[in-house]
Formats: sequence, C-alpha cells, structure tokens
Amino acid sequence: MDETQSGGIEHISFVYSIANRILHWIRAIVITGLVITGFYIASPFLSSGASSDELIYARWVSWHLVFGFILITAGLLRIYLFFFGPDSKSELNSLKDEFSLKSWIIQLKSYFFIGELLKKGMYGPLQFLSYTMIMFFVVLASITGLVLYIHVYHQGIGGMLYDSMRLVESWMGGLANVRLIHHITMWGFLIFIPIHIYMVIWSAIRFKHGGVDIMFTGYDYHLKKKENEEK
Amino acid sequence: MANQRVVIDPITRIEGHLRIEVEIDENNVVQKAYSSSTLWRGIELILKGRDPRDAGLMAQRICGVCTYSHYKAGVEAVEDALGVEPPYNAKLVRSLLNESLYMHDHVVHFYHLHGLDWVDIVSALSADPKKASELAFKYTDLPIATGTDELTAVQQRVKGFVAKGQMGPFANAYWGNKTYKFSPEQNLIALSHYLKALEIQRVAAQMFAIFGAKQPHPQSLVVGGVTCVRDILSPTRLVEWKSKYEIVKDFIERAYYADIVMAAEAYGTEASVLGGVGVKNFLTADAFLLSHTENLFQSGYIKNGDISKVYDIDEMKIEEDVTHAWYKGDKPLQPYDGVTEQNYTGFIDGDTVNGKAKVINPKDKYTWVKAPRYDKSPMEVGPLACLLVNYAHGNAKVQKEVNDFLKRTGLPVAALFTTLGRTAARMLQTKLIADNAIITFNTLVENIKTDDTTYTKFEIDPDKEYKGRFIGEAPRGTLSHWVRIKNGVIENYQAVVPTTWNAGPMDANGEVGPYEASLVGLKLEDPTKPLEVLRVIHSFDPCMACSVH
Amino acid sequence: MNGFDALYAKAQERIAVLSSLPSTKEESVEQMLEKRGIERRDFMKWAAAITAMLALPSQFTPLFAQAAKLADRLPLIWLHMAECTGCSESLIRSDAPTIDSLIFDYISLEYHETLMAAAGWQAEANLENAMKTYAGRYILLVEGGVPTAMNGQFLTLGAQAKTGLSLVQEAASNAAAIFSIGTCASFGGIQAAAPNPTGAKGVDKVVKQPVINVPGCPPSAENIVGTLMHFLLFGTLPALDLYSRPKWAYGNRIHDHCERRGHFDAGEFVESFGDDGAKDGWCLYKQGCKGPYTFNNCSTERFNQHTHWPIGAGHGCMGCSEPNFWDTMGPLEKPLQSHLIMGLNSTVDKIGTTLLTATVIGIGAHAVASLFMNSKEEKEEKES
Ligand code: HEM
Ligand code: HEM
Ligand code: NFV
Ligand code: SF4
Ligand code: SF4
Ligand code: F3S
Ligand SMILES: [Mg+2]
Repeated sequence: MDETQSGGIEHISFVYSIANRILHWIRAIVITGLVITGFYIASPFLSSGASSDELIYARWVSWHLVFGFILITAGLLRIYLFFFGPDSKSELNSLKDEFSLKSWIIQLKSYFFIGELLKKGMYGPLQFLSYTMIMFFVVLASITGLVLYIHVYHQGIGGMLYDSMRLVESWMGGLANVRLIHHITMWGFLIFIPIHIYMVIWSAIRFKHGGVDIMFTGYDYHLKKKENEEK
Repeated sequence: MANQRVVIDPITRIEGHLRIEVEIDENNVVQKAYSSSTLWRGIELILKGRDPRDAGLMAQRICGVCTYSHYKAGVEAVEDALGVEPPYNAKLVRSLLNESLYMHDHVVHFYHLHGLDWVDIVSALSADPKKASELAFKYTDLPIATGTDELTAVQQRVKGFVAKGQMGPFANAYWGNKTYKFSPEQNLIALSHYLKALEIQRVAAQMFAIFGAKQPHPQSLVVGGVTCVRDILSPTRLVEWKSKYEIVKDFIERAYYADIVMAAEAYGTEASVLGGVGVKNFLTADAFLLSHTENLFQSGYIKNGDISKVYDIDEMKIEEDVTHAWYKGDKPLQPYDGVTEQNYTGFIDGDTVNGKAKVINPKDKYTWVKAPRYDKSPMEVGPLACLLVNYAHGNAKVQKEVNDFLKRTGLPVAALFTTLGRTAARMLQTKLIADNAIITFNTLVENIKTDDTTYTKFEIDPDKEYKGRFIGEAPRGTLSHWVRIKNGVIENYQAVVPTTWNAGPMDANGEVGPYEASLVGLKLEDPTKPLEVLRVIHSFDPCMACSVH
Repeated sequence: MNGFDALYAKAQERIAVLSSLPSTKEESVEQMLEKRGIERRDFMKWAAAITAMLALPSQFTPLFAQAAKLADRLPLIWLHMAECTGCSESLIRSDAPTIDSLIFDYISLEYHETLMAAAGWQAEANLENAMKTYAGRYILLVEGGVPTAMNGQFLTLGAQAKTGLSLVQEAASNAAAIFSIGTCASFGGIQAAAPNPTGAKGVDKVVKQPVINVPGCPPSAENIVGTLMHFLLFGTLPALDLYSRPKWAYGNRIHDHCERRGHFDAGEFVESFGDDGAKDGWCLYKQGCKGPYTFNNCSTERFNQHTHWPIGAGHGCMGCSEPNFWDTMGPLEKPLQSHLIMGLNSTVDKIGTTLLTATVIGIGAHAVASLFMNSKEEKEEKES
C-alpha cells in the first residue's frame, strides 16, 4: 500500500506533488522573511537618522505584511491539500502513526540510532507532530498577525476582519498579549528551522534516501544497501 | 455611668476608608479613641518579583491625592539601591514638581476637605454681602473673589440649594453646630473661596502637568532622571509654568493665608481646636531642593514638644509594630526587613450612641494601618512637624514665616501645638513653598544654559543584591520607601507612609499614635453629630489609601 | 430611516423622557446659569465641544444643550471601593469655564465620600436615602476594584461594616446605569495585579447589571464627563467595544494619533532617555511605549485641559486603560518583547534564546554522535 516501503533496488517513489513542493518553498522563503522583518519590528536595530521622510520602519512593516499575506494564502492552500490534495491519503495515514505508541517508540529509537524508521504514512509520528506544530505556529502567527493588521489597515481586508479579529483580541486578553503571542511564534520558527533542516539532511544520510532534493523533485529513493538490510 | 462608644464610619472628606471610634464619659468628653482603616490592597506584595524600574509607577497608585509622592519615592528608593545619581536638572525638576504638588494638595485639602469643618454654609446665607466684602480687607490688603457682586452671586446660588432641601453633597451635615465660630460674613467669604479654589486647583494641576505629563498620576520620572527634556528646554513651557505658578501663589497669599488668619481670630477661643496634639514628638525629613547648596526644609525630630533641641534621624531606628494591626508578626521590624502578611480579625458587635453596630475590640487587632515607631516612640509627621522641627533648627525662612504669623494673629508659640496650629502650619508650609518654588525654577533656568542632561544611564546586575531607600516629605508628612533587589527583581518592598505614622494603632507597649492621642480630652457638643472629631482628624489630612497601601 | 436620523430621534425621545421626570431642583439650570453669569453663548460653546468630543455630528449640539439643561434630574451616587482616589481627583479637574461647578449644580451628587459634608451615620443615611428615593433612576459610578477574597472583608464600610462587595451589589440593583470609573473599577486595577492578594475584581465581574467601563489610571476628566453626557443625551449606553469601553473614547489606539508616529514610521527612536532623539521628540517605542497596544484618546485629548500627556512628556504610554496592564505590559519602560514573566523571572526572548541554544547544542551533539555511530556501524558491517 505504501510506495515507500515496497521493494525494488534503488527504487524511486513519488512523495510530493508539485503544488506541495511549490508551497513548501514559498513558505520557506516567506517564513524566513517574516522572521527577519518581524525581528526588526520587535527591536528596530536600524534607523534612518538622517531624514524623517525615509520611512524605514514602515517599509519593514510593509514587507512583513506582504510576506504575511503570502504565508496566509500558502497556509490555507496547504491545509486544503492536506485533506483533499493528491498526497492527502498518505499524509492522513500518518495520523495512524501519530496515535500509535509503537510507532512513537520506533521513531524515537531510530533517532537515537536504534533500528530503522518504519512508518505507515508519509511521516513518522514525531515528524508529523513537528510539522503539525509548525502548521500550528503558522496558523497562530497568521491569526495574531491579522489582529495586529486590522489596527494598521482599516479598510479592505482590515475593515472586513475588524470585528472578528477584535473578538480574538479580547479572547487573548488584549492587544499586548496578542503581540506577545505573535512574538513567541517567531521563536517557534527560529527553533524549528534548524531542527527541520538538520533532520532532513541527517535522515537522508542515516537512512540512505533522498535529501533536500526531494522537495525539489518530489521523488524519494532508497539506496540499494538498505534493501539488502531489510531482507 | 460607663463610657459610651461613638462610631464614625465613613469619615468623609478624606482619601480612603477610615473609621474613628471614641469612648466618651458622661460629660461627652473623649476618654479613648481608636483609629481604623478598613481597606487593604496589598501593594507591597504586588511589587515583589517585578522589575525595579516599575516600582515608581506602581507605587504611585498607592494614592491619587498625594499623587507623585510615591512615584518619586519609588524611583528614588531604587536609585539609592542601584547607586544611580540623577543629573542636577532632573533633581530640580523633581523638586519643582513636588512644590507644584503641595501648592495643589494643600489648597484642596483646606478648602474642599477640611473647610466644611470650619465653615457653616447655611450661616453664609444670612450674611450681608456688602459687609462681608468690606470685612475681607481685614485679613488681607487685596482680597480675592470677595467683591459684593461676587459674594451676592455665591450666596444666591447656595440659597437655591438650601431652599429646595436638595443639597447634594452638602446634605445632612452639621450646619448650625455651636462650635462653628465664623460670623455669617466670614462664612460667606470662605464659601466664595471654596468655589474659587475649585478653579485654582485646576490651574495648579496644569502647572504640575507641564513637567509631569498629567495630574493626577504623572508619568515623567524614570530611574536615572526625568523624561520631560523637551519641556525643560522649551522657553514656552517654562514660562507657562511660571505664569500658572503666579496665579496659584497669588491665591495662596490673598485667600488661603487670609482665611487662616480669619480662622485664628474666630476660633482663637474655641476649645475643640485648641487641643488635638497628643503625641508631642515630631519628625520630618529634608525636602525641596532649591539649589546645590540649599533645601527649603531640613530633617530631624523633636521630643516632648521641646523645640530647644533637634535630633538627627537614624533610619535604622524606624520600625513598624503590628500588635493591633491586621497582620502577622510579634515584634517591630525595620522596614528593610518588613513583612506584610494579612491576618484579619474583624469587628465585634457592640452598643454605640447611635444604637447597635460593629465596633472595634481594642484588645484585639483593629486596623489595616501598621504602627510606625521611631526609637520605640510614636511620632507626628506632616506640615506641623516640618515647621516645628525647622523652627527648632533655626531655619531662618521658617522662623520668619512662623513669627510673622504669630505676630499677625497675636497667638503664642504654644498655639502651634493645637488643631488650629496644625491647620495653620499647613498653610504656612504652602506659603513657604509658594514663595521659594521660584528659586528652584530660577536655578533650573540658570542650569540649562550650560547643561541639558536629564538622565543617567545605569545597569542592573542580576547577580548582585541591592538595597536602598527613599526618605523624604509628602504633603502629609515623612514618607519612606525601602527596597531590596535580588536576581534583578524586587525582593522586598515596604512603604512607611505619613498617614501610617499618624493614624497607626496602639503598639505593643500600649502607646497610641497621633490620631488616637489627639482626640483624648475632646468634648463633643452632640455625640450623634461628632463634628469636633472630624475637625481634629481632618487637621491631619488623612489619607488611608496611603496609610495602608 | 438612516443611522443619523435614528440617533437623532432617539436623542429627542430621551429629552422628552427627561422633561417628564419630576425635577429634583426648583430652579432650572438655565436660571442657574444666568445667575452664575454664564451666558448662553458660553454654554453652547461647551455643548459644541462635548458634541465634537463624542464624535457626533454638529446637529446634535442644540439637543445636547437641551439635555444638559434637564440634567439636574439625574441623581448620582459615587462609591469608593479599593482605590486611590485618583479618579475622583481627575473628575474634579474637569473644566470648560466654570463647568465643573456647573455640573456640581445640575447633577445631584447624592453621595461622594471625598466631597460630601456629612460623615458617619449621617453619610450612610444620605446613601440609603438616595438609593430609596431615586430607585431605578440614579446613576451609579464606582471608583476602585472590588475585593472578593475572604468574602469581601478586605473592604468594609459603615458602622455595620458591610463589605464593599455587598454594597456595590446593593447599589447596582436599582441603578439606571452603572459606570466603572477608572481601571480599578473596570478591570480590578493595581490591587488585582499578581498575586492579587485581595481577589480584587472589576465591578462588571460582581454585579449582574450591564456596566460601562471608563478605564484609565485615572481616565481623563473628559472621558468621565463625556460618558455621563452620552447617557444624558441618549439615555442608553454608548457603542461599546469588547471590554465595554465607549468607542468614542477608546476606539483607537494611542499609537494611531500619536504626535511621534512619524518618527515611528521613519524608524527614529529614542535610544536612551534624555538623548538627542529624546530632545527631538522621536518615538518612544524602544523605551517601552505601549501606545501600539493601548486604546484610549490621550493622544488627542491629553490631560489637564489639554496641557500634556505621557508621551508628550517623553515617557512611553504604559497601557493604563487596558485590562491587566500591570501584568501584561511590564516592565513598563521596556519594549514588549522584554515582558517579564513573573515567577519565572524571565522574558520570552531569554527563554527563546535558551531553547535555541539548547537546540543548536542538541543538533551538534546528535551530529557528532551520528558520525560516531556511522563509523561504528560500518565497522560492525565490515566485521560481520
Ligand atoms: C533544506 C531544505 C528543506 C527541505 C528538504 C525541507 C523538507 C521538508 C519536508 C519533507 C517537509 C514535509 C512535507 C510537507 O509538509 O509539505 C517539510 C515541511 C515543512 N518545511 Fe521544509 N524543508 C527544507 C527547508 C525548509 C525551510 C528553510 C523552511 C522554513 C523556513 C521550511 C519550512 C517547512 C514547513 C513550514 C513545513 C511543514 C508544514 C507542512 O507543509 O506541513 N523547510 N519540509
Ligand atoms: C512566520 C510568521 C510570522 C512571524 C515569525 C512574525 C513575526 C513578527 C514579529 C516578531 C513581530 C514583532 C512583534 C513584537 O513586537 O515582538 C511581528 C509584528 C507584526 N506582524 Fe508578524 N510575523 C509572522 C506572520 C505575520 C502574519 C501572517 C501577519 C499578518 C498579516 C503579520 C502581521 C504583523 C503585524 C501587523 C505586526 C505589527 C507591525 C506593527 O506593529 O507595525 N505577521 N511579526
Ligand atoms: N499619607 C499620605 Fe500621602 C501624602 N501626603 C503619602 O505619601 O496622601 Ni495620599
Ligand atoms: S484607576 Fe488608577 S487612579 Fe483610579 S483609583 Fe485606580 S489606581 Fe487610582
Ligand atoms: S511614541 Fe508610542 S504611541 Fe507614539 S508612535 Fe511611538 S510607539 Fe507609537
Ligand atoms: S499610559 Fe494611560 S494615560 Fe494614556 S498615554 Fe497611555 S493610556
Ligand atoms: Mg507599609
């Protein structure tokens, strides 16, 4: 049932649809941009000094917002694809691992060099959890970002969302808390990204399959040696 | 006949929640008195664990009447702990703000809080405005708001109230009480000033806000200095302060001073204002920077009303006792190590002259106010203490002001040790401040010609422990804040506040504080309408939010 | 009928109701005004100013003046709970030529402990009397948070030592409207800051009736008086935000109308109090200004007859009209990302940096271990 586990020397498996791959890199880029611009918004380290017509801070904010809206769009699409996209079935299969203690043990052990990484769906449970967490941070950053946004732009989307976002604002205990939560999401990403990139590279080496290239080509492959071992 | 209990709760025209109880004998003479504040907020506990730089703004919320006092105290206690020396400009501005505050607070206290203990509004209705207008010249060469037309308008307005029996805030008071001593004309003059003072206090608040951002609850001080650098460096703002200052100063001279002279004349033989100093130890701290070399008032204390000798304060001899206060603790503590741990025991059922009520059990704890002691003795603090100690010190400005007043009114020095004296001292202190604030202002103007620094940078080392305190003056007397800082946050915070000194309960040795002592011997005209008690207690200018915090 | 007409009609209706109520005073405010030498022109000016402040169209000015003249029919009861009296002090700063005393005259201030002449039993009698005589018609204004721990006994009032909690509930039950004046009454305020030793709460948390919050520590006199005026004019609660704050006063952030906003957008920040930026009036964001998270009209109304306000005086806004601001906005002079998580005695950035460092170290260790394991496995493979 799962291509990644069926045999074949140097077998190649298709993992990510083109849509998911594009979305991934879009998000990778905008999240990086958001973390950098967000960091500046929180502690503006540059200042124009010379002229008040140079709206440096405002410009950082507008880039942040451009990235922000791309992230929101990409995030929404990604959630749609998770349920209804071409890869949806195998992704949903990961849920089985998520709720299986055994799978958790296998994955944790594999990360500590004990045994192989076997999974029912696309991702192992820990992997799935961390991607879920990332999505959680994306959603949280997007919502809190929108609450902050409605106070900066009062027409268009800002105006449309005004009332509902103010409701969110009061649930969160005021704008200061919203901003703090938004700030915390930045740390979520700052911590996730190195782990994420490291794990992508590490598991490619460790389990002898595709690495960074998967996200470009969409295909994963396993080296022959591994097949031998499995027998 | 056994003593009877009189309960007065709420004491109004003060800040906060105060209950006074007195025991009177068959002649309605007070034998014992108890002072109780009935609200606790726990601000000392709330300050713990916070950034030391927040202490000032948070402590300021102890009180919105002597607003600024706790702000400055909190900021300067932390500066003392960290060893931060704010620039000269900052010190001068802080002093200027304090002067502005007193010019506001004392005026409001006398006219809007204390005033109605002296002024019978209903009596003012039968005054002859023309006569009153002429009479006003007896107390000052240039009276304010006492023209015949003005007085007539004031009178008519109040007549409206009284005729309808719909007197709003003036309803159901003690009008007609025999201990009101002003003539109808004098009452009318004072009433007109009551209304004028509403206007003046607004100007005084504006004057404060120029460097303070707003009043109440300014927001221009920080640990290390002040933030209002733009206002200090702006000639418009400086002159704005000065012109408002002139208006307020003018009122203080031509109305406040004159009205106290008038009161001294009318009440010179009224028994209820000729006692009222029970604790005869007085303590005060340095206050009002005028220049590098001069403070307007100096610190020290006197004992047993003896103004021939002044002692220096040793801050380690300040302690707080909680024997009769609703806190845990079995021995007096120096505020650096002070503890605030609530232990409420409430009131008991009892009989009073007005029927059954909840009353104080004097054997038990009975108030949220702690009992501060200096070297085991209770101390009175406040304007009277400030003047007496400085008089004793030989402070020339104070001596001159006090002597002039005594000469003008024909009162002896002993008259200072009374309720009337306390009320007069507040006015004299205000006058001294109003006269000298301009020196602070001029020093500031001189200094900014060559120096525009307003802030000293500093670091808080989280690995170091600090402790520091502020000891200074607030409108109601000597105020001290004590802070310990550890791990970069506040480890312990204690405030020992003017009204705590004055309104505190009996201590472990059975010694009572100034409020309780001042009432003993007071005779009440009608125990169910205890105006005399109000008069004595109001002369201290109670602030219960301050006292308990 | 469009919104404007509806509002206008409502105001007119309201005035009809007001005029039908029995007067609490004999002479009309107009007569009173005349006696006090206040001319109609001054009065209309004041009415116009209030109308503008409430963000109402100028057509409301005459209606407003009419309502204000009828306002002597409105009895007011002001209760003090756990507070500092700063809000009362703010109220008495209210101006417009002799308008404070005007208000004194035409609103029947039945009970206000700081200002009233009577004390003790007489004061209590006034309160009871007012609650009875004007049942259902008085406006209740509360200053201060309500202590609820220990059955409310952290505050008792009167000879019978009633708790503040029971008194406020009693007074609320017959009030025509309830206003929480100040952040203490609105959200608990300073005494409700962690660890809230007395269980202090905002009034709306302890009474069943609807409450309008007029927060600020203290709120400006304009915001207090304006809220009252709105009630006088419409007889209804003004449009409120989610914290029950009138939108006309708390609809925008401090940051939205701040005089230093240009410098914010330009990235010109005061780096240290008293520096050149401070002298030039640059933005206080880096000195902990909470204007971007705070809803209030200080940046336009200012305080003390528009004399000044915190940001004008070079100190950041500390968020004093926001719920729990003492806890959510501290340290008050540091930007929000330095928010001190009390108890942990740490900040999000400190925790974040620690976690990130741990992550990097973890990755490093894992990578080194991997190299070691790989060579070991290879060895084993060769051996087997
Ligand atoms: C070194 C190159 C990278 C590779 C190979 C890689 C690979 C992957 C893979 C396999 C997934 C799971 C598939 C999916 O959910 O669509 C994933 C998810 C994700 N990656 Fe990366 N990634 C890389 C770099 C980055 C970078 C630099 C970022 C962000 C700055 C990032 C952000 C994300 C996010 C947000 C998700 C998960 C959310 C989701 O789609 O469910 N990735 N990545
Ligand atoms: C990866 C996602 C994001 C990260 C890491 C991020 C990070 C940040 C950070 C650190 C701040 C400064 C907050 C502070 O004061 O500490 C900020 C502010 C802000 N963010 Fe984001 N953000 C993200 C997504 C978004 C999104 C999706 C939006 C919505 C459009 C958004 C809108 C805003 C706005 C409006 C501000 C406030 C700007 C201002 O005050 O002028 N952000 N962001
Ligand atoms: N007592 C007191 Fe205060 C004063 N003055 C104190 O520091 O009033 Ni509220
Ligand atoms: S809101 Fe502020 S000013 Fe008003 S009572 Fe509370 S602490 Fe005082
Ligand atoms: S000073 Fe404060 S409110 Fe004003 S622009 Fe800067 S951050 Fe905004
Ligand atoms: S601290 Fe308060 S007074 Fe206004 S500027 Fe900020 S809301
Ligand atoms: Mg104390």
